[in-house]
Amino acid sequence: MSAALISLRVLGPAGLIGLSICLLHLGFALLGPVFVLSDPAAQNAQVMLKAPSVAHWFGTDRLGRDMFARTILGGREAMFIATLSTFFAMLWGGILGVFLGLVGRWPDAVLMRVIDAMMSIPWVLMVMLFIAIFGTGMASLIPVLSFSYGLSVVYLARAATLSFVAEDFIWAAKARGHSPLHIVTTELLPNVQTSLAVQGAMQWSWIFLGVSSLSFLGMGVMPPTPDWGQMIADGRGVMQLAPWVVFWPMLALSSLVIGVNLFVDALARNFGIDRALPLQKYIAT
Amino acid sequence: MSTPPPFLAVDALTVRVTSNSKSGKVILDGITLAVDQGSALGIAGESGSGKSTLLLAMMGVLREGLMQTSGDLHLQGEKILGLGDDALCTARRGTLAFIAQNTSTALTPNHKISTQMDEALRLNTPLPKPQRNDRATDLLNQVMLPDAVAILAKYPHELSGGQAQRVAIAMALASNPKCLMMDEPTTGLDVTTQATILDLLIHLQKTMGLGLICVSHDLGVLAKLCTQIGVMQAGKLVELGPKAQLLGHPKHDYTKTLLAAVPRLSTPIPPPKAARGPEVLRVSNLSLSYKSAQKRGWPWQKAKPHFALKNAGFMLHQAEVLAIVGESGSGKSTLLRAIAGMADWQQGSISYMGPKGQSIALGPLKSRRLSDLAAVQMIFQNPQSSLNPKQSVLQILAQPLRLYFPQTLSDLAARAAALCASVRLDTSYLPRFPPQLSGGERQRIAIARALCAKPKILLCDEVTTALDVSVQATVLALLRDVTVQEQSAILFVSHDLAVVRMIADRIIVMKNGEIVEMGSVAEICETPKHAYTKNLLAAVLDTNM
Repeated sequence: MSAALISLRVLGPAGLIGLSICLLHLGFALLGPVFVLSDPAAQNAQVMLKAPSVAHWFGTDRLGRDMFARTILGGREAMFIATLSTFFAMLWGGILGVFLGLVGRWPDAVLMRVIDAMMSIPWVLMVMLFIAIFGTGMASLIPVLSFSYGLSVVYLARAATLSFVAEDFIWAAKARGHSPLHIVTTELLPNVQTSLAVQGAMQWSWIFLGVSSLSFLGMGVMPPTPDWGQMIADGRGVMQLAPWVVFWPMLALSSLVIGVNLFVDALARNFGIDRALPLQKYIAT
Repeated sequence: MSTPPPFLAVDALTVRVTSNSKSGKVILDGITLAVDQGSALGIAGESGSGKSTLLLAMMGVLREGLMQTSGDLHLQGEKILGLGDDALCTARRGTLAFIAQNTSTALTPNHKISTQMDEALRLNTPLPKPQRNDRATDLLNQVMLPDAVAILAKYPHELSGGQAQRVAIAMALASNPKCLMMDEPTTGLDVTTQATILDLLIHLQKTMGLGLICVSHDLGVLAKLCTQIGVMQAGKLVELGPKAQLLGHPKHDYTKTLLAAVPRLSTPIPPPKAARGPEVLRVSNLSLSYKSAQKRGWPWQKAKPHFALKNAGFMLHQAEVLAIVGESGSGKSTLLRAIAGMADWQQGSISYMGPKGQSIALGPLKSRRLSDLAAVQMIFQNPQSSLNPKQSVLQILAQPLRLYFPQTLSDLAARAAALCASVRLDTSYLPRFPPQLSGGERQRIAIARALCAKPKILLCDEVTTALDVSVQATVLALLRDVTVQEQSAILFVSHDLAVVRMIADRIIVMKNGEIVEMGSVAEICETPKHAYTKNLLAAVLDTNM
């Protein structure tokens, strides 16, 4: 117990704030349905665009839906999509990146140029094309997000692998006669896993933001499921009249992304990982 | 009557690691010394003794995270520790100039030498541009770089290590300093290059009246360069005195042990082993070439191959230590890597003696059977990179045990403990991780890992180069024992003939991929035949007075 407390202290104040925000969001997402009793999709023409009150803590939107219920429950689907997409992006990107870093030569040269070309396509464009063909929904969002965000994971995993393949302990294992699989699992992965884990957590926050952006554009999470991006899009027309309609989803969305970033930054600092990896220049795309 | 203050005076200087509590770790502990203008002071010590921190402090710099807690430091009567950057530059201009340890990183890789020399001159002298060019040429001539104009037009990577070090010295001379501050000025250079750089420094000191303050782990370098030598241990200056007294009649116990551990050419050669065992490794006519890296031309033009090994051939006998000596680029490491299967050769053959005395040919790594792999084990130069930092000692030792002896899984811990004992480490080391061990302990673990396989042949690639001298002696003794107890033969690659003398039975001297001379230790060290061998021997620095 005390060991856990000591390891929390190394996160520093910013990291602890980030962790608390993340835990708060996690709690709302998991326990939301338990304590939010009103239906987030229930419309009520009697109470359209009402300011926060005892009956509706966060006010109501233009269809009279309860903003409190919608805000608490509005992150669940996007978080779920982001989590699964991150998992698959790390999986395929990690495996391919480590493979290319180890093998090198022509597979590396050819595939990395293909990935370069893919990365030059803005992800939103790629996703919109995909959704135009297959329609939206989790079944199409998760594969396409995993694919487009996995491209940068290939870069990261390859760079992390390259920084270790020339080390003597890898050579020593080769010279002893271990199989390539053994070398990857026992010699390489323990060394690259921390930087991959940190990057995975960052990846999650980007994908989450991506899902919210898609929802804002009307291509992500579809009504009646509440979603923050969708709520902001929905309320932006009446923003001057009823600011709470966009305030709560914006607060929730930005606090989650900031929280994750603060926490992961502190983790990275603690592990001694330089986050300014080659990946950085691809974030903007 | 007041005497003028010494050029540089350090008075009971104590430096600690900055920490919230009062007792930060002491890095420099009450150092007192004085340097007169034009004199040469050497500071010796092992890694972590604080010698580099002291050198930097004498230049007015404390590394991030360190603080001065007491004492004083005066340069020509002026306090320099704690001065701001600009004031410090002014104080040092024309007085102190620094030469960094690693010239390959001290010179900016993407500027020509002319640009870098010009910058040094612009910052330190009021000369206008045309005169600066002349001065740069003068300076390069002063450090005995013959074709100064050609050198100025080059980039740092086009220079050899010795040339780069000369350029660094020339840049340090740009401000007409009174004293050169040097941190391991010749570490990393070949022995023959080291000798010429040291000669140059001595020449500069004599002709220009230049003072030298030099920090090194190598007492031989200091003995050649300096008149005064100080010895540091754990932040304390344990002994300081004139060279002859300190090296000839050391007072402090630490100085004595340090001197005793220094390998030298004058120690008697251990008697050769009586009987030569059967042959365990035969390398014949081995040639290995790379495509030249600096290929210029069209894709269809063939690149000229660069030969790393040319017709190398020798035999290694059971329980024998055969040393391969040469400078960088001599092909000695390539030879070792070829035998270990890590480099593919074009011509020649390598074979070893199998369990029934039959000769088994060794091919590329993938063609080798598990028993072949176990028979040849390699120990690397730097244990920091040859041991996986994320594995405990037990896990490190378990890897080859599991691979070569899968049936002994049950008594893995016992086997690992026995291996630890064979390199004189107790079982408390098993759960530890490499970053928690000292350099010598790490190298012992690396040796234990190689011994796991009960190898017939141990390949040692500069295994003591990254270690302190006192640790080096114990590792050499350990390897010597291995040949007796395990009857393993050792192929010991080194650049240092003095080290080789302590361990080898026979010596091979290599140059440019060829074996130029081969013979017993006595033959090579006492009656060398080849001119290159004589050069190598002459370049070995001795601490005897």
